[in-house]
Amino acid sequence: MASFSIKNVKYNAYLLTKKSTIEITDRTYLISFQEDLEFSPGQFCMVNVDGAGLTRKPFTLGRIEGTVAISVKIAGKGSEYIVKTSERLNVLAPLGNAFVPENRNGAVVVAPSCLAEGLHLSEHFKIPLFVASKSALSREITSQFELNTVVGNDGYLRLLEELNNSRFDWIFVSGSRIMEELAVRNMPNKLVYVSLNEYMACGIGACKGCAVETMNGIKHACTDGPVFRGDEIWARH
Amino acid sequence: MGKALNLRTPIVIASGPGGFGEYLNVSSVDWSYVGAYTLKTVTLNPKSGNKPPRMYASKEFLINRIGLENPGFDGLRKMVEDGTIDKLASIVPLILSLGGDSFDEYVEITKLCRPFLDKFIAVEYNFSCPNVHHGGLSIMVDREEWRRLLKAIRTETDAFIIAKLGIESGFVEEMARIVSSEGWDGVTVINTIRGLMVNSEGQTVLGGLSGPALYPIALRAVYEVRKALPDIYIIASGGVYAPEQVREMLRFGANAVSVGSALFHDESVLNEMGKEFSR
Ligand SMILES: Cc1cc2nc3c(=O)[nH]c(=O)nc-3n(C[C@H](O)[C@H](O)[C@H](O)COP(=O)(O)O)c2cc1C
Ligand code: FES
Repeated sequence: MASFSIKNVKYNAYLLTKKSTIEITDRTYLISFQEDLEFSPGQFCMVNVDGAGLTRKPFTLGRIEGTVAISVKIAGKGSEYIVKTSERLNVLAPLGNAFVPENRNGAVVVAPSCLAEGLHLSEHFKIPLFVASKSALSREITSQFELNTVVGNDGYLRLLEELNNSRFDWIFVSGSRIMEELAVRNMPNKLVYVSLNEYMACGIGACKGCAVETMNGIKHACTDGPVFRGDEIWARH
Repeated sequence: MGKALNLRTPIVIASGPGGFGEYLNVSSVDWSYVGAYTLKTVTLNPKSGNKPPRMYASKEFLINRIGLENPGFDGLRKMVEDGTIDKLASIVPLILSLGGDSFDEYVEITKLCRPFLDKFIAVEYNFSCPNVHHGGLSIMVDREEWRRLLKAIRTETDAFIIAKLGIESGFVEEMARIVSSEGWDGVTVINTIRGLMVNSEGQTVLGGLSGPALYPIALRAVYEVRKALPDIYIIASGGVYAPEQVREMLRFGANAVSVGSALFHDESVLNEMGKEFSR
């Protein structure tokens, strides 16, 4: 049974001004803002898309050079608006729980759509970052950040195998659902954390729309997550 | 003249989208602009809701199949006992929403809630959830049984009671006539309507339709109910996203206007809607 306690927190709506928008790879962008706001690694925000959609869209938060950043994959009208607009963005944040690992002997694996979060976790916990992308990353990105990148599905599976046999105690994975499921199934030796990307309408625990089936019953990605232990979501074989 | 709720503004948070008061934690809303906050429907037994995924949005509508996930009467009682309800009610007046899977459950939860109903300015009974197999919408199919249920609930409480009606069980004004003739104080019209969409993964999604597409249907429902019943208290619900729509709903007979899915777009629209009414 899901929990119904109402958290004693304040969610703030901020207006964020874009500082830069850099293409990471095909249809995926890194947007950094002029403002900073308080948040912890693993938390997310909901971004208003004005007339381009009926609900805010969730993005994991990152910080680059002291200000807030998000990565956005254009998947529809809403995400396209977020990438293209020059207006300030109305953002509800910070949401969800902080990611608190039991030690610092871990690694982060992200898809380009979660690069901002990956960069932030890597810097915050001083752990290595791997980017798993379908296609090559842009020059602009590779010249600005030193990234360990694997391209394509085979590259990703080889990375998972390496990490499964590595010295790390845990691996944090943030990307598509398919990518996260592969990570859990292919790294049986490791404690895998996943940051879920369920559809969210409110982001604050009100609507119950972001339900996920876990080994411990129905939970909500926005208030119980967004980070879960992988073996709570997918059985290992 | 029927009884009225005398809200500080006619803006009401709809049952469901607002959960159990979570939006009170969002700092962009000035709650003095909101007349009442309806909590999510509570049923006798807890419900864990439908299998995910549960929600999709297009440009004109949302479809949800939450399935009345709620903590049941025991969960509600806990919120009363630990002071949560008092805390919420000190910020904005609350409306309790109750539902059930059967005749007996509706009556039973009413009896159980009686000791603390004075914490709420009204009780809304959900007779129109399209996402559960029993209760909800289906309770109204047998008209005579439903009438008996309205009578039974009325004899259990003196609270200001409101029936939340859908439009899929007959002409809404006829349903409202029955509600009124059983001595109830008000109706909320309408609830979500059963909808179908194919999502981006090609899956068929069945659920309740809300959002902008619902607005003209809800407006017509308000118009018809008001024409049939000059005295009944009406809360309008369906697709309200802007202050002009609040005004229009009031013009066609609503006493209060509820805001649901629009919260997901930007809850601060409540300020714009409520401002012109606040004293
Ligand atoms: C996610 C969601 C959950 C809902 N849950 C309930 C509920 O528990 N009880 C209820 O009476 N109505 C429920 N509704 C219906 C709303 O209260 C409202 O009547 C409907 O969504 C139409 O208004 P809107 O277009 O402003 O959202 C729900 C609607 C949504 C979108
Ligand atoms: S997104 Fe609304 S409850 Fe999680």
